Amino acid sequence: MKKFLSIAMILVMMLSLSLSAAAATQLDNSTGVTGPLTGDVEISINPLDDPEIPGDDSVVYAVELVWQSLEFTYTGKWDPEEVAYTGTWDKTSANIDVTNSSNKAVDIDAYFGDTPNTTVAESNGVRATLANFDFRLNAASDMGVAQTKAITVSVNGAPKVTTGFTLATVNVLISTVD
Amino acid sequence: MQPFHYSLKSDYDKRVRMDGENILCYSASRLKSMHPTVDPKGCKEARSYSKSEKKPAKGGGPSRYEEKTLGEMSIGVKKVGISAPQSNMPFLYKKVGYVCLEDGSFVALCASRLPFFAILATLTTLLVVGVILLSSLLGSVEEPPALDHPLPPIDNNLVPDEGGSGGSGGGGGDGQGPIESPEGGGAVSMIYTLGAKITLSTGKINIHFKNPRTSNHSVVTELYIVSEGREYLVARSGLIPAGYGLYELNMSDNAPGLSEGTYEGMYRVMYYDPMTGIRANVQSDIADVVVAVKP
Repeated sequence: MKKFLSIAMILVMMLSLSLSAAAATQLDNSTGVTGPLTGDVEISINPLDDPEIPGDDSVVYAVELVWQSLEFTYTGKWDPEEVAYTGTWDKTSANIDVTNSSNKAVDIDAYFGDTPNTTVAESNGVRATLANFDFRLNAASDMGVAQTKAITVSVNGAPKVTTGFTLATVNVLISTVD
Repeated sequence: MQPFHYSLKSDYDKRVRMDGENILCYSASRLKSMHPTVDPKGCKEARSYSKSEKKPAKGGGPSRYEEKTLGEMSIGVKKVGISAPQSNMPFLYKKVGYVCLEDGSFVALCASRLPFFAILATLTTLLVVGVILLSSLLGSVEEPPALDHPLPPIDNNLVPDEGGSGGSGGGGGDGQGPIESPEGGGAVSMIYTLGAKITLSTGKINIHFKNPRTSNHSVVTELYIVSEGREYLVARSGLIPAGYGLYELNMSDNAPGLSEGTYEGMYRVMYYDPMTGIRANVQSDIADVVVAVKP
């Protein structure tokens, strides 16, 4: 008896599933669109927002930095008349490309060391400068593609020393757009 | 002590050494073939005894030797004790041969296998030591050369980046290979949110920061509280190699005292070449981090 009841219940459940599936896929003749007969197709998005963590967690920033070698080599010889080395640089500039793949715009501000707005660094007769150091990268969602801009680091002068040295570190500040 | 007398037979096929003396005897197989009626298990047993076994028991009683043996058999200038069958063979002894006595009975010669096991243990030890030395030598060959600039230790809370959860705009290029960067340069993608939660009771900080597989540099990130233009270090991560995310930081021991509330924060991200350990002369500050401090 129990077996019979169980089989009957399973059959009823299978039948109800088949009916609901058939109803869900019934062709809507008026539009030719396959879908539920009642109601619209709705898509909802649940942002991954932890109420305990402040800020808008649904905004996940994605910023990419690609930099060329920031090592500059000077080849020269000592000129006693100029009282300095005279020679040439292997290159005089290098780029740091910044790409914003976020769905929010970001502001980029580059400077030497820890002090904002420091765009010139000098040491041992060598001068480094930043160009295009302050710009905005629009949201990739607005542009349809991730926007990239380049910061340029240039050097000039002639070193007064014969050993290599670190002139400065380039700090790329990424901040939100108000 | 009853004397037992060794009988020399012309068909002995084996020579064993006991107490420094060579004794001609039957091997087990020869005994079986020449004297099939003799049961090897029923033979009396002869072996040499140590001085301690021959020492009288405390209180003047008979020694262990006297207790266990039926008598003695001379071999050369020495004597070995003879005991009843299967009565007195210590651990690690085995029957190495059989001799006939003048009364026609047979005695099994028992010898210690301790030297054999000692040699085996020595060889095994040498083998193990050799394997360890060899593996350490091979291991040292396979190890990469020490970096001139040692990398910071890898963070303990890393989570592998499974990909597909990059920036909202599809950034990070998850699923792609590393970004190509010019020789001597580098490439880093940073995927992050601007919220952080510090729980004072646990010292844990919840963050969302990923260095996806598309990067070719490892990173270290520091969380600062910014107050009145000054930066106060709250936490520093370990190394985050490309392909890993970090969602939990531990407060630094020397973090400033904080009370419940919301603070302005900042991430400082430093980049390291994983092959050379050299820190890049580019770094990033991520401003506008909102830090919530909970009890």
